[in-house]
Parts: sequence; C-alpha cells; structure tokens
Amino acid sequence: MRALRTAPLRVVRSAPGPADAFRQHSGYVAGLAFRLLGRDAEVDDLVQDVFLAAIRGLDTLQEPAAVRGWLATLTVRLAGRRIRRKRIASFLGFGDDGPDEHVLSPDASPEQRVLLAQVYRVLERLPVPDRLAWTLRHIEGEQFEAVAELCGCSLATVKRRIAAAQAVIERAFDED
Amino acid sequence: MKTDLLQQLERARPLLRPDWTPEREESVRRKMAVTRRKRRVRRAALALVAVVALTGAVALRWRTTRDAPPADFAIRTVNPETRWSRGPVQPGLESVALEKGGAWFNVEHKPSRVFRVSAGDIDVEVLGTRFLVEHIGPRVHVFVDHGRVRVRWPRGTRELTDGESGWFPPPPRPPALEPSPPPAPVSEPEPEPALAPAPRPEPAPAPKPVALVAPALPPVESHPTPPPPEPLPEPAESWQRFAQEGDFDRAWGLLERERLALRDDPTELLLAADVARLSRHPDMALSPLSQVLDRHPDDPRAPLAAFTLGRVLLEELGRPREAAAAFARARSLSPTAPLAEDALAREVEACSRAGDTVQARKLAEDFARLYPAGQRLRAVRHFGGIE
Repeated sequence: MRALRTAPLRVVRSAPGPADAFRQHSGYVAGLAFRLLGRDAEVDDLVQDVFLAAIRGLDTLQEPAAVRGWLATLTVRLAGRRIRRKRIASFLGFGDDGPDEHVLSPDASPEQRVLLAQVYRVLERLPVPDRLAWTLRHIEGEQFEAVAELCGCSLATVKRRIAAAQAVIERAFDED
Repeated sequence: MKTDLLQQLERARPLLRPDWTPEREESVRRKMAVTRRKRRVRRAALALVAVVALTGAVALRWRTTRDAPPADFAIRTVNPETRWSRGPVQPGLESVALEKGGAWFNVEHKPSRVFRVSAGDIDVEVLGTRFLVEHIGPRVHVFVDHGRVRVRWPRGTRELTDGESGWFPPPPRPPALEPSPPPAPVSEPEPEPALAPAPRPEPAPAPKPVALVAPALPPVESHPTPPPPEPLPEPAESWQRFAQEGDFDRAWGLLERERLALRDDPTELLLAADVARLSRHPDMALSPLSQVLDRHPDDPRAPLAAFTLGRVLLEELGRPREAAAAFARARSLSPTAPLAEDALAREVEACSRAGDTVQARKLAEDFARLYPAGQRLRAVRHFGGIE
C-alpha cells in the first residue's frame, strides 16, 4: 500500500538573521580564517567575504546549530580560493610569497614562533586541497569526518590529502 | 619526529588566533555594509540593462508578428507548467508547438486549413474537434472529446474519434504476432475477479468491487488551480508502463494480482480507468472515475471523467439512469465547452433508455435550442421524441 503523497510541512525558520549571525560567529570565523591563511593581514577581508556570501543562504537554514558549521564550510572554501589567487598573483610577480612571520599571539615562545613559521612555509608549497585538509586536522584539531565535511569531499580523499601533506612536512623537517 | 611535531602543534594551537577586538569587528561590519550597498547598485544597473534588452527583444518580436492573423482556436492549459507557442502562419496550415505540460484545444472547423499540434515528434492534426494533448513522462497522451484527430509519430499514424484516447508513440509490435488459440478449458473457469485472497471455496456469484480506490484516505481539499500531473513512474514492470505501451491486459493483470492501491492523483486514476475499460473490465472503471469527480472536481479533466463514466454506464454496463446523472455532471462541470453538447446529447439518450421520456423530451428541446446545427441533433430528436 503506497502512502498518500502530502504537501511538505512548512518549517518555521529559526536560524539567526545576518546581523545576529555576524555578532555571534565573526570571532569564530576570524580565528578559522587566521589559521587557514597563516597571515593576519587578510583575515578581515576573508571574514567579510564569508558573511557577504552567507547572507544569501541564511534563509535556507532551519536549525541555529547548523549556522556555525555552514559558516566554517564557507570559510574553508573561500580561504582556498584566496590562497589560489594569491599564488597566481605571486607567480606573475604581483605579491610576496613569504608567510607572515607574526602568525602567533604575543604569548608564544620563540621556539613556537620558529616552528609555526616553518610549518606555514611548508604549507605554502603544498597543493591547496592538501594544505586545507592538513590545517583543519592538525592545526584546527578537527576529526577526519569533520574535515571531510568542511572540505566537501569523501573521508578517503581527505585522509589521502592529509597523509600526502604530512609526508611533505615530515620530509621538510627531517631535512632541517 | 612526527609525533613530536604534532604534539608541538597541539600545544601551539591556542596561540594561533587573531586579535579580534570589538573595534575590529565593528570595522569589518561597516566595510560589509558599504560593499553590500555597492553590490545593490551594481545589481540594479544590471537589471535595468536587462529590462532594456528584453523590451527591445519583445518590440522586435511584436513587429515581426503583428501582421499574423487572429487565431481561430482556443487553448486552455491544464497546469501552470504548460508551455506552448504558435508556429509561423502558412497558407493552409495553423500550427502550435506544445513544449511542456498539457492543454485542451478548441478548434474551429475550417476545411481550408489544417490545424496541427506538435508535441515533440508527435503531430496531432485536427479534423474538426476538441481534444486534449499532454506530455506525461516520455510519452504523449491524446484524448478526443469531440470530433476526429490524426496523430502522427515518426513510424506511424492513427486517427482518434469521439471518446478515444491513446499514448504515443505506441510500443512496437512483436515481429510474429500469432493469433491466440481458442480457449481450451482445462479446469473450472475462474470466477469474476474479486481480489480476495485465494483459495476460493466456490465461485463468487457477481463481481465484487476491487481495491482500485485507495482505502481510508483523509479528506483532500480541492484546489482552485490543481497541481500539475506528475510524470507517471517508468519502472520496468509497473502497470502504468504497460498501460502507456497499450498493453492493457497485462496492466490489468498486474493491478489485479498485486492488489495495488492507487494514488489519489487524477492522472493515475484516469489511467487506471482506461486500463479497466480497455481490458474488458468496465465495471472496475467506475471507482477511479468516481474518485476523480469526488476528490478533484476542479481538475480540468473532471468533465472528461464524468463523460467517460457516463459512456461506460450507458454503453457497456446498461445502467442508463446512472449514465444520465454522469452526463449531467459533465455538463455542469464544463457548461460552455463542446463536451457539454455531446454530454447533453447522450443524456437525452440515457434518459430515453431509462424510460424517463418526460426528461428526455425536455432535454431534447434544450439541445435543439442550444445547438440548432449540432451534429447529434437528429439522434437527439429521435431519443427525445421530438421528430
């Protein structure tokens, strides 16, 4: 017996509006942008890009809890786009290609500064998808499943990317 | 090294954060507002350019078609998704392309020109009639309410007349079609189908109503603009697929064997009624046709359902009194359509056959007044006793 088809239930929107979403989540997005890009100078622009893109899609979300994850996905995607553009500009001679030496907070020790500067220098050489996946896993501290969701790919793909990036980073540190 | 590096990263993680102060947040918020304003202005400018371009295109099209002669046909679409366009006017030919959905066509009979509706690679040519053409899934359904049409497809043609319908293109015929052998009774003949679980201890005395109606349905609101008919499913062994291929016997077999409940959907109900009728089970068509009338009276095909119900009752089941009521319902649902003329004519006949000569005469007089040149006037005068 086939069920009678009925019209879909109308769901009342409970996700925050754009202004509330910015107030609640801009700090989180800024932190994620900072760690993905490895430089502070572009964080403001990336945060702006993320929330301008988010305004169009906020109406489609039905759960407040989904907003943060969705903003994170947007941030990852737009950060990847920004990194690619910067590499092209650098290749064409329009920008510097060194990582920001002031990546860390003032509380960081000199050893931590050196370590992270080295890590980001190596990340600059990686393919963008590998870089993003590895950063989300080992700098952001996300689980594999969450990384796959944020990167918009399968679990197998994300593990492969992270392993490839790890191999390059280990080789770079071993040589040092 | 690996573990050491990852552990160091984990310890350094809390230190990897921007200096995100309220002032910085406010600064970004203000920049966003400026950017949004700029984008709004840009979008408005683009929209203005698009409007100007569209207006120019419409004006150009109007200039090229303003000399086209007025149409001598009427089209009534059956759902909002229907898309049709008028073809270039040529001497002796008026054509319409039905790109999507379905529509009723009322066409003035003119021997001097051919009226053609093209739906994909199916052409329906009018020989003076009112007919329905629908895209449903990959096939085209044609129903002739009144008159005759010729349907062409790449490998054949077929003419349909009053009350006939078909799905096109039809399935290819098997290469060696052998005549069916005469029935050789090897066991007791099966009783009339009753969809009751086997075994049957004795044959049923009369056919029982079968589950061609979805049981225990909640009340359904009728919609002023009914939703578009959905494409029928095309799995390999569905009754719908057999029906669309014209194999009504197999379609009926599947419906009966699996005791399938129908969806409360006019397209499916009308198809099930066709299956029942054309597989020689006319009594089983009554339920789905009645359900269309009861639950979907605003559907544009409801008058057709009532008319078909009347024909089945009158011509196949010998129940003229009920047939008269069905034809009257068809008229009330569509009082100004050509279908109404035919329905009134048949109502006169049904009343006459039911022995209600007073009503038959009254309706016959109405017919003669409303349709003095009607094609069925002679038959109406005969049945109404006003010759």
